[in-house]
Amino acid sequence: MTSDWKRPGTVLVEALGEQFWRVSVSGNFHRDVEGPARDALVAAVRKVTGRSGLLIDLRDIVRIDSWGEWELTYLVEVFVAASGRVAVVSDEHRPHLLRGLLELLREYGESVLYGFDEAAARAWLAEEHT
Amino acid sequence: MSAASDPPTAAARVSLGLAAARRWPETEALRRHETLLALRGERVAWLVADGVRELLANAATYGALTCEAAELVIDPAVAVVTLRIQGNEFDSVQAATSSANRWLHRFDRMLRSDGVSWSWRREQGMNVIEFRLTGLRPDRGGDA
Repeated sequence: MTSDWKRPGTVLVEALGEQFWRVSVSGNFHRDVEGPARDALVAAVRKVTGRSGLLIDLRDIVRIDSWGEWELTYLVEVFVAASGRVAVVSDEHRPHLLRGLLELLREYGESVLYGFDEAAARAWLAEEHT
Repeated sequence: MSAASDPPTAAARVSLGLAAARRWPETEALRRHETLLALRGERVAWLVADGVRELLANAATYGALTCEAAELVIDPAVAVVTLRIQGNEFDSVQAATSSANRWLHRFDRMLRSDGVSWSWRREQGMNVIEFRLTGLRPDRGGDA
C-alpha cells in the first residue's frame, strides 16, 4: 500500500437525476501526487457546479491531507453559497481518515450531512425537492 | 502477560529527515509505531502522525530546510510526544498554514477535542513542539 502513495487518484463526476451531482474521489488525493495529475484532479473537482445538491463519495479514498481537504471544502463552499446541500459519504471502518475534513465541514452546519449510508444521503438531498 | 506483549515503556526516537516530510510511507509507519499506539491508541497515533507530516511538509514548502534533522521522541513514561525541528521557521510556518488553509487551527481543535494539549517553544536553536497526552480521552469505537 505504501508504494503507491504518489499515484494520482480518480475523480468521477456523475449526474444524479436532473438536480444533483455525485462526485466520487478514490485513491490518493493529496499534495504529493505528481504535479500534472494533481492539476487534473483539481480541475475535475472545480468544474462541478450548477445543480442544487451534491453527493461526495469518499468511501474509496486512500490518502488525503490538508490540501485535499481544502479542495473538497472549496466544492462544498460553492454549493452552500448557492443555497445547495451537500452530503458526504465515507467508510465507517476508517474513522480517522477524514477527521480534518470533518472539522472543516462543521462550519457549514445543517447544509452538510456526513454519514456512511449512501441511500440515506440521497434521501436527505432529495428532501428539499419533494 | 509475556514480556513480548507488554506495552513499551522506554522512550522511542524517530528521525524524520526532510525527505520524510513529504512521504506517506513514513507517516503510515508512524501511525503504527508501537510506542505511539501504546500511549493512547490508534486515533491519537493517526492524529500525531498526520500532524507531524503536515508540520514538516509546510516547513519544507516555506523554506525551513533545516528540518532535515527533525526528530520525534515518544516518551511513554510521561505520555509526551516531542517534535524537534531545527531552524527558526516555525513562526512563518504557523502564519502560512493558518492563512493558507487554516490547517493549524483545525489540528489544534482536533487535539483539544481529544484532550491533548500542545505547546511550541524555542530551545537551543530548535523548535520544540510538545504534545501532552496525559488528559487524553480513550478511543471511542467508530467515533470520527
